[in-house]
Amino acid sequence: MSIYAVNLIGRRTLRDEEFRQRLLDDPEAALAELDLDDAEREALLAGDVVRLYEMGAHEYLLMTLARFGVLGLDLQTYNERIRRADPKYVY
Amino acid sequence: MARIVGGCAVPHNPFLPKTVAENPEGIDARQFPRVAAAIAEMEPDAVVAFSPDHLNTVFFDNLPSLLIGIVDEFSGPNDGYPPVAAKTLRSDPALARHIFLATLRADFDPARSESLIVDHSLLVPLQIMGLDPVVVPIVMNVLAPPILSAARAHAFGTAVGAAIRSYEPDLRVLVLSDGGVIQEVGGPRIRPGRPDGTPDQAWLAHVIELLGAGEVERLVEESTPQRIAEVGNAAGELLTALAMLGALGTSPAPELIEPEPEIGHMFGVWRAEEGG
Repeated sequence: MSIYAVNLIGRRTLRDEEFRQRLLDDPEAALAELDLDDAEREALLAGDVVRLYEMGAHEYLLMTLARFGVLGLDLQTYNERIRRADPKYVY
Repeated sequence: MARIVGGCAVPHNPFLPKTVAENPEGIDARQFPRVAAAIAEMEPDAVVAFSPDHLNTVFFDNLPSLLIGIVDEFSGPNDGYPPVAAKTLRSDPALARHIFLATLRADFDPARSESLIVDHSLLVPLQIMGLDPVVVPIVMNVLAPPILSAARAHAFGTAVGAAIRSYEPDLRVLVLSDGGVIQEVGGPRIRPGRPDGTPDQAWLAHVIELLGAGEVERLVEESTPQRIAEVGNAAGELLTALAMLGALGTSPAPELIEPEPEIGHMFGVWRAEEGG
């Protein structure tokens, strides 16, 4: 259910500079205000984009995290990690 | 009465302004001016644009498959890619309202927006081509599955075309689509060191072959949801072109159809038959 909140983090990272800065400065505190379950929170803090992708997070929003360098991600790290995922053919 | 003077399909990758500037001999730098010249020749009074959104204008809290902007003007981009310049585009709310009502009466259910900010999609090709037209924006969810079927997109485009042709003012209308064909963006099939990939070059070649032969109906049939998902997580953008071709109304051979295999998109220009 709360994968919505994971997706929302990507959107807020793009749109909300204050949230983005808090995510950079203190990720655990920034995530504490969101409706995440333990597995989602753990995967986010680990920058585990494969797990988040498998949980149903949208890859555009995951890549936004890497674009802005939050949760220990950058574009190179993101690239190396997401390519390990098995593609989901969602339709 | 309004008539449709032609259609075009263009790409919108947000890095294209940089690509075009840095590689003047590349396919993108060569094809955008050809499309721009064709549009100039067709002298449209208004453009009706079928354009994807990348979860920037709409989001999972409220995610329509189809949305028509009924606005005096709209602006963007709202997704912060530096090569894309901030822009406010003029629109035609009377034409947009007519299209909304006509498609609603034709049993489609588009959402409507009377305050619209768009992402890079539509702005990139207009920026590169140096165009500042009056645009009625139709935003399509083709990137957050499940998405509408190709048949539904094409049928909706057909209804939009009929709506344009039933609009009383004597306008010359161009229909435009923007998007890729085989792109994977941010998903597992991206290339090392890049944010994107092109999972299925054979599909791109096949799409170009069918469009070149005017086989739009066959392309609609073959563009099943499963096929679209297999050829890239952004491959649904082809549906914007199928909607545009539905609006155009016939299946003429294009005067320009050119693939760009590196990023996985295409350029196309279609002239409407006499009478639009």
